[in-house]
Amino acid sequence: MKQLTKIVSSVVLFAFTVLMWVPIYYFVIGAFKKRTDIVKHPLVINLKMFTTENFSYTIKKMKLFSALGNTAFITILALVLIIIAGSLAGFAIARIKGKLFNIYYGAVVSLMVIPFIGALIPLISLIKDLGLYNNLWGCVLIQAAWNLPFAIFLFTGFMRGIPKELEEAAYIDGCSTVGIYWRMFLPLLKPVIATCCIRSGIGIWNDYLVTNTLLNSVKMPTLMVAIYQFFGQYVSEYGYAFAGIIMASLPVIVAFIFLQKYFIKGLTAGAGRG
Amino acid sequence: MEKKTASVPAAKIKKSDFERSRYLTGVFFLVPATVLSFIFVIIPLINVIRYSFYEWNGISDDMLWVGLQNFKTLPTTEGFWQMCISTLIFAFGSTALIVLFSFIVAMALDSKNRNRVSRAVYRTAWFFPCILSGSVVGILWRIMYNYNNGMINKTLKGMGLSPVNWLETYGLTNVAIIIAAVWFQMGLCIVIFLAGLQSISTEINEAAAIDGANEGQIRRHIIVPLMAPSITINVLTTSIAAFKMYEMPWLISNGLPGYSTRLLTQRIHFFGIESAKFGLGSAMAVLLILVITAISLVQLVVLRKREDIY
Amino acid sequence: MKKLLALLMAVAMLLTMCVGLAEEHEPVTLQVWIVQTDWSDAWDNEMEPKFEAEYPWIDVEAVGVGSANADFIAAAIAAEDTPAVWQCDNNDTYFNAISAGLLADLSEMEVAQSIPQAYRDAFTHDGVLFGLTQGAAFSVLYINMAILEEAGWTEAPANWDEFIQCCADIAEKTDAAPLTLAGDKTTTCWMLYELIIANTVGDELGLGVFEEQFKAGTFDFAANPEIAAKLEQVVPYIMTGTSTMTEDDVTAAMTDGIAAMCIAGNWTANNICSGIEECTGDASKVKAVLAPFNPADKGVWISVSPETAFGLSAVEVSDAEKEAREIFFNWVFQPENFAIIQNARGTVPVLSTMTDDQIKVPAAIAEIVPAMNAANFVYMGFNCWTSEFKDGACTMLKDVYAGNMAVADAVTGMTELLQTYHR
Repeated sequence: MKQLTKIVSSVVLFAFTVLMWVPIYYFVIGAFKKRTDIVKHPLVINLKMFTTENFSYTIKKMKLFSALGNTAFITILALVLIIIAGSLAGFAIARIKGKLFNIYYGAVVSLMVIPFIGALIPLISLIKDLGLYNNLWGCVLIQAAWNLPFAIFLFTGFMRGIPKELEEAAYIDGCSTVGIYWRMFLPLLKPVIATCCIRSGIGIWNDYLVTNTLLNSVKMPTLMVAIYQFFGQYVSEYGYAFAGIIMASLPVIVAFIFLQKYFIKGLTAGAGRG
Repeated sequence: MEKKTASVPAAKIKKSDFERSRYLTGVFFLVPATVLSFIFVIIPLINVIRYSFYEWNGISDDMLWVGLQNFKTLPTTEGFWQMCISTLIFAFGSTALIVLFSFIVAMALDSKNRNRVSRAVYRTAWFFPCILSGSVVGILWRIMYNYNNGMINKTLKGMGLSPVNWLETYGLTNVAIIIAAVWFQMGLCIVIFLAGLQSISTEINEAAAIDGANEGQIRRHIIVPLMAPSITINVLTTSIAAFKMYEMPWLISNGLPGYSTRLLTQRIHFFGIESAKFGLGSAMAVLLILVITAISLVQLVVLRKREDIY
Repeated sequence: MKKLLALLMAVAMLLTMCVGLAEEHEPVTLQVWIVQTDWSDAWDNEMEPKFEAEYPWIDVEAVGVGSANADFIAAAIAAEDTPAVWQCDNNDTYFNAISAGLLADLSEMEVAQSIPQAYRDAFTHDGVLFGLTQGAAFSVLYINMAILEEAGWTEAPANWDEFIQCCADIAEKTDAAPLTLAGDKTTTCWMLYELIIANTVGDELGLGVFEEQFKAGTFDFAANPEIAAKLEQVVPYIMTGTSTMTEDDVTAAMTDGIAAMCIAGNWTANNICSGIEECTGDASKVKAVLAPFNPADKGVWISVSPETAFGLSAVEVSDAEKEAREIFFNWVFQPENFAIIQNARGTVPVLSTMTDDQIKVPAAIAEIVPAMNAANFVYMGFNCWTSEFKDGACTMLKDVYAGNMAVADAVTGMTELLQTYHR
């Protein structure tokens, strides 16, 4: 009986996984078909339909390599800023007693709920006044600032879980607070940094709104803005768009596979202590 | 944070000097985050609040102070109340289903009869939709929901069933965008639940089993309570994300039929950008911020209380 | 000290003059918006190389912003980063841009004279001619004659009663749906309705009166009960799913042969005509007509509009840049250059200087161009409405197409909406 439930549950899980992958399967094979075949035969692909033309056209039209470079620049630098600012603030909130830090934490958490779209226009005027319009750094700073609250939330949760005794021992050994952060906590933070990279990184990598409104898409193309041009007013080039999406997602998939071990650890430690 | 009671033993002796320097270092540590947030989040936010009291087209130099007029106009705009309802349906519906399904899937994935490799493969498989952008997911599902040549209806017809008019039927369209949201956002919750399940050590389970608890009892009395923190974080982040979501449902349903699937975020965009009524758009944004904050606070209090009960 | 300064300045001026003489043109970079990305390949492969070969010191950067361009345009305006050459529509955003002094008055430009007066009028706001259109848009009924023949019709219907009869026959005798349109796009969503209105009240009101009343918010959709009655007649024949269909979906439906007729703009002619041809395997089965919504004894009314227009920036810049952007603007409207856009899009050009051999229009459309020129017309909705009316009215109309709302409610609802939200 127990064996039977096990088998049944395995089969059900497998079936659901397959079902969930149907849309992904649909767009992956779509990337290798012409648009008429995508519409007419959504779930089938055969040698007659197969084409790699979507990819060659997309690479050229999207300016793939320069788009990849720009997107990577924005994502990586924003993540670095998020990790530095987030871990410092998280350390202070989690490990140091004081009303100020509690209030600060409350403020940070409430910043998490602000919808970006509402602040778009004031943000653009601000960026222009700072001379960062049409500048990759403008995107980096915006992304860093808007992803920071969640990062602080994560770092704080994680660092609250680290036993106090460790820290106290270090103090007795004559370590300064900065030293404790730098030498003791930072190395322990790997899992939560991985979590942060994946959660915020995906959002930044896939961003359309900020880059589309802040950057000149000819001089500084980014992946999502480039993909969007295939969804035109009259004709949506699904094949091109699907090919573009696949190429744009590959780096994220690779990053996830490499970081997933740490990612889970970061969540294990952080999830419990909001 | 309530659980952390003051229990500082040894280092209490040289308190004052040491604590003060520690405190100052802490304040210093907050500087980078504060500067970034202040410039790029708080200042624009203050401006949004300021604009919500003006009539302004976003271009011209003259802004007309209208006081609370924008907030009074909002409820009289087309479909406003329907939009509030549809936003709540979408946010709560998708949050509930996402958390529920991802919990079930996480339990299934955590099952002891799966080896490490298959677990990692499943985990990646279920996480995958999360790495796509909201707009890509929206366009993908829109194509699939298409009445005449969408994949779903073609499959239904192939099985001899009658096609479903996903996007033109009141009620059904709400379901359609929620399904897409569940598909899109489940991965993250699953991973968080998996992490939570892993932190419940096998010893606890085994101890309970030795004590004679059956699997159902273990689940109800041990796993669910211990998972309460993960549930809290998932409910909170998922519902915030759902309230902020804007492109994905729009690309699927266009807010149709009627105003039944239109969300408040989309209305901010409509007023503020499309109709160039910036003051009204800002008022809408302020309203949405208030709503999300209130709901998140309530959730936090309720869920924390539950956690404490266990 | 002052003398020294003056001397230095004189030397500096002399130097700059020498440099200016030595290098005739300083390099200039122009930013150009291309909203309709459907000719962006033609731009990349033909127009840009051609222009830059002719004017090597001017570097043109075209920003293709796709259809969801509202954010981009709003942000660019907020950042005061507007292009040298705009793409303008007839709506509030651009009217605001005119009052903010961002768009130039083109009425004195030579190329403006080769655009017919009616199209210049359409892009005139507060006395400023702010855009020169890239083509003429008009409503068309595309027909798959193979399906009509199956239903017993060898000719396209010629008036409203025949049209409804034809729809009934198609519904009865074939598997195809009689009629579809791109309900997802407000322009085409509204098109069916505005055609009904124009053919019902147009003769009585006369040219231009409907638009005037529409803009002033005084038009009453319910005043003439025939409008609602006709809409009621046609709704049962509209294909399921129509209210959510994009122009792309319409093309797909015609290609699949699941719809017999569709109302669409001439701008989708290339796609739809080739779709019908692919479906029937016979080019002679592709038929385009002016939608025959007229009573039997009266002439047909259609809806027309200038398409998106090119506008010129009025923002202060250096003389060199100012000269360059005028060179480019004039260059675009030279017939041989404009033909590149025209051929890529396959729509009807408006430039009076273009010769027949430069114009390539799909055969089915070319056939009806004379009739189009002779027909009475109303302007398409987006030339007259506010975004609030557009949103509210099209939402109702889509509900009507989907069978979720009674026609009478929608018609009275629209009148109320227009009273609140008009220009």
